[in-house]
Amino acid sequence: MLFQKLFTRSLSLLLLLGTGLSSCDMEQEIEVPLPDLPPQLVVECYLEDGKPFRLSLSESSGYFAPPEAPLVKGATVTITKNNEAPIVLRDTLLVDEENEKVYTHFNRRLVTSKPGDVFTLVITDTQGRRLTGTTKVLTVVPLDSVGYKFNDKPEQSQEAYLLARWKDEAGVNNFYRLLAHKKDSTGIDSQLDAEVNDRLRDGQKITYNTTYRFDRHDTLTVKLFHVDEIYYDFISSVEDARRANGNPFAQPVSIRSTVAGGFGVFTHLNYSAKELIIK
Amino acid sequence: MLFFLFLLLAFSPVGAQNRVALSGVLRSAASGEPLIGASVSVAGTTTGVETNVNGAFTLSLAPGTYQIQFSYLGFETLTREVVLRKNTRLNVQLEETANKLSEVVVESQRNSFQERLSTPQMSMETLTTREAKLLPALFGEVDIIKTLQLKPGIQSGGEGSSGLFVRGGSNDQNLVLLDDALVYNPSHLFGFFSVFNPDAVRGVELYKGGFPAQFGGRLSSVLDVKMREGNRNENDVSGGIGLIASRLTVEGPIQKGKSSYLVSGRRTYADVFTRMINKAKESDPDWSPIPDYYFYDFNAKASFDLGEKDRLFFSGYYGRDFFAFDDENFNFNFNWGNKVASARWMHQFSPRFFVNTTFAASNYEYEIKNELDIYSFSLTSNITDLNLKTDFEYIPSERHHLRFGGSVTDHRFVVGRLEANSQDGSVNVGAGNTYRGQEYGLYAQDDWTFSPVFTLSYGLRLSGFVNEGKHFLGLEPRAAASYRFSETLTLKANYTRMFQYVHLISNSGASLPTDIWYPSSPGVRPQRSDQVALGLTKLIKDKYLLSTEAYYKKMNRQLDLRDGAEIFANPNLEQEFVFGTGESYGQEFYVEKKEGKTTGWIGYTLSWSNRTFPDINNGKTFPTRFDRRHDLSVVAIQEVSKRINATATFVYGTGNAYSLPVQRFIFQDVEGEDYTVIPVYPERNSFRLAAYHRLDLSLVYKLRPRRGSSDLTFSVYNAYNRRNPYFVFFETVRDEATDQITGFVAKQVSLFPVIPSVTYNFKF
Repeated sequence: MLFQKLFTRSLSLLLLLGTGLSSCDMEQEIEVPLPDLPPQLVVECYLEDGKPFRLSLSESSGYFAPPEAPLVKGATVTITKNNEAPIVLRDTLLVDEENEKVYTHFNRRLVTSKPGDVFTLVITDTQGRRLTGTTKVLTVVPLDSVGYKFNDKPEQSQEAYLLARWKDEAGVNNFYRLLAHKKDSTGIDSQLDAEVNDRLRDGQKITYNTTYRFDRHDTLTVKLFHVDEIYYDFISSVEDARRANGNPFAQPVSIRSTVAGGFGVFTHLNYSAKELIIK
Repeated sequence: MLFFLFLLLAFSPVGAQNRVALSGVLRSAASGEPLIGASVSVAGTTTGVETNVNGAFTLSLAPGTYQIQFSYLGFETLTREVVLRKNTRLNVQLEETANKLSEVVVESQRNSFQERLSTPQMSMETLTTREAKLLPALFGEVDIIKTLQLKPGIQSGGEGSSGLFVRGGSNDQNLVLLDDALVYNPSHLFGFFSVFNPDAVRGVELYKGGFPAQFGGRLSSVLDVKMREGNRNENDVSGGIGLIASRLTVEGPIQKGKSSYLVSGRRTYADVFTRMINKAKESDPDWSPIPDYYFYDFNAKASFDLGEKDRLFFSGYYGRDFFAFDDENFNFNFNWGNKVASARWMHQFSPRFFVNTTFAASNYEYEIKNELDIYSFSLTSNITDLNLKTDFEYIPSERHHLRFGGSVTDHRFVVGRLEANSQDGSVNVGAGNTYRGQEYGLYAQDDWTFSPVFTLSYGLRLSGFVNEGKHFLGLEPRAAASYRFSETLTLKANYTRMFQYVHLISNSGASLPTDIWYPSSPGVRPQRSDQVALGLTKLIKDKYLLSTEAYYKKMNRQLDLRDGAEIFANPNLEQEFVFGTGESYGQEFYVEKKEGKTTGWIGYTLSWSNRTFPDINNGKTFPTRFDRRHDLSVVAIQEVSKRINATATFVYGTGNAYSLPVQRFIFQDVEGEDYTVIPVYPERNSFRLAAYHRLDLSLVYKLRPRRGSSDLTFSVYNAYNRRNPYFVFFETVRDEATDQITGFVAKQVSLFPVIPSVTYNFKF
C-alpha cells in the first residue's frame, strides 16, 4: 500500500516536471492491435456455512471486446465435500441486486462446513475444457477489537483512522484479508481491502490501522477473513495486475488463480465481523 | 603473485639499456590541473603516448634530438625540441585556446585520431565536461551521463533518464567509479539526473567491452568518472543559475602551484514552487497536493604535491534526495543518497615505475518513514563498502607497458530493515537482515607493441568473494589486439570475461531508490559474462574517424524476481529469486569529425538483447525492456562566431519493448466489494512502444563581463514537440450517469513536451 502510494506520487511529480506546470495534454488515445488468444474459463465461487451453493462461470475476452462478460453455457459443475456425493450446480442466472453480484450456477442446498472440511470443484464444458479447484475450511479468527481515532483538525473537518486488532495463532503461517464496508442509502461501499500475513508477527497480536479517512457518523462493517495462501496469492496478484496497467515502473504480473484450468477463485469464506459507528 | 613475477621476468627491460625515458606531467597553464588523456608524441611519427590519470607521461626513446608535440582538447598544441642523452624530466603547461567556446576544435586532431588507430583498446568512449556543456540539456541541466547516451551501444533507461544500459546489460551491471570510489546509485530523482555535478567533474571514460584487467566486479561496463582538482594558481568562484537547480563551485590553491582544493555544491528548487502551488490550492478539496521533492549534492577534492615523486588526493561526495508527502490522510518521508570518499597516494619509483594506492569508502542508503498518530513505520536499506587497492604501472621498454595490482573490499549490506512501533507498545515489529561479504581481485596486464603494426594487450584478473563461509573464485582473462593495415586502417578484436558478486534486486522495470543490493551467497552464485568484439577503425582524409564494432555478449546467472515476490522485510529473500541467462549482440557504427567550424558525430547501433528464465514467461526467451533494434544519434556543433556556438542533437530509437494485457476478465469479488476488470498479461515485453525520436537545440552565448567570464546557454529540449511514448495503459470507459462500463481504450502517456530553458553560467 505504502509503495503503491509512493510510486503513484512519484509519477505525479515526474509528470508535473514534464509538463512544466502547464496544462499540456500528454495523454493520447492510440490503436493497439492485440493478438487473438483463445478465451479461458473464469470462475468465482465462495462457499459460506449456511448459504446455498452459488458460482459464477464466464470467460476471459480480448481486452477491447464488448464489455459484457461472456457466459459459458452447458458446463457441468460439481462440488464435492470431503468424500460425500458430488453436488451438481445447475445453469441458473441469479442476480443479487443488493450486493450487485451475478451467479450462473446454483444449488439451493445449504453449505454445512466446519474447520478441516475439504471441498473440491470440477467444471467441464462442452468444448472439453476442465477446471478444478480445492479448498479447505479454516478456523474463524475473531477480531479482538475495532476502533477509531480522530485527527486534531477542527471538528467539522475531522477525519478518523480505523484500527483493527486480532491475535495470530503461533506456529503456522496465517494469511488474512481485512475488509471494511460502509452501508448507506446508495448501497454498500468498500472502504478498506488489506492483505496481511503473519510473517513478522507469528503468534502475536496484529494491529492494522488505516490513514485518516473516515467521517463522523460513518457506519462500518469490519470483516476479518482467515484465508489460505493460494487465495491470498490470488488476491495479491489480482491487485498487482491491476496496478501494473498504468504504472510505468511495474513489471507485468501473471494471475495466480486458486484453480487449475482457468482463472479465478474457489474458496470457503471464514470470517469474523464487527460493526463500528464513528461518533 | 607467481603470475605477476612471471610477467615481470618475462618482460624485464631487455634492450632498454640503449633507450632513455622522457617523462613528466602535462598541466593546464591557467589552473595547473593535470591534463588526462592528452597526446604526447614525436612529431612526424606514429610514436606517442597518452598522459595517465595524473597527467603523467613516459616516452621511451633512443638518445637523440626530437620534436615532441603535446596536444589536448581545447588547448594550444605545443611542440618542443628535446635533446635526450639520459633519462629526462619535462613538465609542460599548455595554454587554453584563445576562443574558449571552440573547445571541441582541436588543432592537431590527427594526433588523437592516430592514438585511437594505434591502441588495441576499443569499445571505449571518452567525454569531457567541456564537451557535454556545449550540448543541449533537459531543463538546461548538463548531465555527462546523458551525453554519453548519445554514443553508440549505450541506451538510456527511457525519456529523460540518466540510466545506462550498455550493450544489452542491465543498469546495475555498470561499475561506476568516482575518483576510484564506487557509487552504488548514480542518479537523483528516480533516474532523471545523474549524481555527477558537471562543475566538479572533469570527464568520464566508459568501457563497453575490452575491459582492462584493473577493473572488475560488474558485467557490462566501467564508468570511470574523474573529479577536477581545482585551480592550483588562483582562487576561482564559478556557478550557474538554471531553471530547476543552481550550482556553486569554489576552488583555488592551498599552497600556490603545489596544492589545490575544490568544493562544489548544487540544489534543486522545484519544491519552492510546488509548496507555493499547494498553499494556493489549500482550500480546493479536490486538490491532491504535489509532493515535496528536492536533491542536493556536494563534491570536494584536495590535492597535494609532496615533492617530485609523491602526490596525495582526497575526494568526497555527499548527496541526498528528499521526497516528502504530507496531507491529513497520508504522510511519509523518503530520502536516499550516496556518501563516497577516497584518499589516493601516488608514488613514482622512477619515470618508468609508478604506484597508486587508494583507500575508498562508499555508502548508499534509503529510508522511508511514515507516521500516524502513535504509530510509526520505517524501512531502511543500506550498503557500505570499504576498499583498499593498489595499482602499479611499469614501463620496462617502449614495447611493453605493464599494469598490475590488487584490491580488497569489505561489503556490509543491511537489507530491508523494517521497524513498526506504537507509543502504547501494542505494535513492535522489527525485521531485516545484515550480510557481509569480502571481495578481492588480483590482476596483471601487459600492453605489448609486438611490431609497429601489431599490438597485443593481454591480462588476467583473479577475483573472489567470500560470504557465509562460501568462497567463490573467478578467473577473468582479458585480451585485445590491433593490427594496422595502413596509416589509416586498423583492425581490432577483444575478449573479456567478467564476474559480478553483488546483485541489484528490483521489483520494477526501472531503477528505483528502493532497489536492494544483495551479495552472492551459497544460494546465489555470481553473475558471469563473456564478451567478444571485432572492429575496424578508418581515418578518412585526416578529418573523419570512422569506426565500427560488432559484439556478442553472453551473461550467465542473471537474477530476477518471481511473480508476486516480496522484497521488503523478507527474511527469506533468496526464495523469491529466479535465475536465467542473457544474450546480446549487435553492431555499432560511429563517425566523428573534430576539425573545422562544424564538428560532431553520428552513431548508429543495430542490436538485440534477450533474457531466458525457466520461471518467467513460461521459459520462453523475451527481449529486455531496453532491447533496441535501431538506435541513431546525430550531434552537430557549429561555431557561429567567436562568441556563439550552436548545437543540435537528434536521436532516433526503436520503441521500448513493453508488456501489455491481451485479455481481461471481470472479477466480482466477495459481497461488499465492487467488481473490477483484471488484465491478463500473456507474455513479457511482447509489444513495442512507438519509435522514439527527438531534436534538441542549444546555443551558448558568451558574455563579456568586466571580470571573469560568463555565458548564457539556451536549450530547447524536444524542439518539434514530439509526443514520445513513456508508457501505454488500457483505460476502462464508464458511463457517467450509471457508472457502467461501456468500453476500453488504449492510452499513451508522454512525459516531456517541448521544454525551453536558459542557464546563466559564471566564473570569476
